[in-house]
Amino acid sequence: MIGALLAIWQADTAFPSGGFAFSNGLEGLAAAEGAFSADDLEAVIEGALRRRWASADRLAMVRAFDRAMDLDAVARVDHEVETTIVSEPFRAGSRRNGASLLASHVRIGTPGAGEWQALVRAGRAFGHLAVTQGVVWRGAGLDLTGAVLASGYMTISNYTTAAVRLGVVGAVAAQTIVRHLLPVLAELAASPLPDRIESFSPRLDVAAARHARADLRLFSN
Amino acid sequence: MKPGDYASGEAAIGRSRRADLVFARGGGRSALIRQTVPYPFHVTKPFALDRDRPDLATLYLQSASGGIYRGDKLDLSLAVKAGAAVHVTSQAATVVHDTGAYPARQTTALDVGENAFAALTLDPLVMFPGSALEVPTVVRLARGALAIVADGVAWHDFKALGRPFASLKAETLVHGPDGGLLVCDRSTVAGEELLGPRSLLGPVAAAYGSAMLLGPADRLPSASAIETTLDGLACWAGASALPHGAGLGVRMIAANGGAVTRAVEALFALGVEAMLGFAPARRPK
Repeated sequence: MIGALLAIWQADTAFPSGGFAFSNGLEGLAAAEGAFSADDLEAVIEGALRRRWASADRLAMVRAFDRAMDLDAVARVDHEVETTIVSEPFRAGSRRNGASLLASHVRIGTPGAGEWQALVRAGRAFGHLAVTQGVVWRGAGLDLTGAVLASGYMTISNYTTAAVRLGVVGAVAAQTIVRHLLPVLAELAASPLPDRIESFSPRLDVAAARHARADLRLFSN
Repeated sequence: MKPGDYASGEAAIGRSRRADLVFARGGGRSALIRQTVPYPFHVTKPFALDRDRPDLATLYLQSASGGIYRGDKLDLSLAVKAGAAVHVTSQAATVVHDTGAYPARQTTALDVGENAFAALTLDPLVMFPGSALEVPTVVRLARGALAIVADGVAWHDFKALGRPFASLKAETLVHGPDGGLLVCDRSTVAGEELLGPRSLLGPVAAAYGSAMLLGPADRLPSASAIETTLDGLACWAGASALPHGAGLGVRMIAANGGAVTRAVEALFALGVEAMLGFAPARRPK
């Protein structure tokens, strides 16, 4: 039972993970495309789940989780993540979001968090979000299933929360989308891990790149 | 192997061919010093198209067989030796036919020597219904090397039934002078994910492309110049810095393959202007 509770604790938007600062391309997409329906938003999030989270973030998190007792091995996963995030706004956002999550866990006293932060601060690792999730969630006592679900759920909720703040959809419509996507997340979480980190999200990559030079921004990416 | 020795019909499934092209600088030009170009590869002779830089050789790479077929394993190795300058491009899109149970594979290895320049800008692949292709590309940069690598993908159902291609699995690796991996861009997508209102590219897109402009920041065009130029060509693009200071990465989305072709041509021109300091002549196609 505690495993499920720990996953809920980490996926809760009240936890200071830093995710509120990032729209992961959504702000740029909404600005570029103007009218954006709830169906459009759901399709965008489902695409991000299937072709970014399941094949890249999930794999990096699981690899870091598995290696959390060997931080040099975690750092190698982190370096691979750095080379595989081709979009600079996504790469920088992942590092910054990872630093925020890590700072919270250091203050809470999560085992392993301080050591991982020292490695990042020494320049021996980048501290990407998915990798940091693997380290601190293992230290915090989550089981792997809970960690995967928390990671996927946060991907959905970060997008829907950003969408509400951007006025793309209302709060109730956002929760309708979350409900629709839970079976997708469950299916993806149970699917075999790919053997390589990969992603396909040209639409979000373009949106985030153009958004990075916008004069007025609500979100970091 | 001579053409008469090539298999035909079912026996032709799984053609495995490797083309090698090696350029070196000498006598004020970039000369094609070695070439092995088996069928279905075909290349023109190198052209000097730019009055400002007659040492920049341009070579057209073509498929003599009408495209990529089931089970094909086509490998291209392009080496540009120290100080040479080479542009390899294509004259038309490459069709990828239904591969059935035998996915095809087209690999490219690009080695760019010290202070050399290489551009590999190809017209889009056109994925036909049922086609499955793997496209691994590796770029190795020596000290002071500059490179432009750009390509695109479109899809077409000649029966207008909305049938998707099967899958496209891509990988582009960029290694720096010490051999370290600088960039690793990997993706897999199924054609059905690119159709209809829930397409990963948005509801009206029917083509996309990727490019890398590899070199130090002071030898690259600005991201905003790229985006503005491509906007004018009906291609929605975003450019941002690649990992490890490798250069600029560009994603492109358009309503058709023609727009991606024009965008890639424009990227080549912008890249050459920033990297080599002159505006290149338009490559006739």
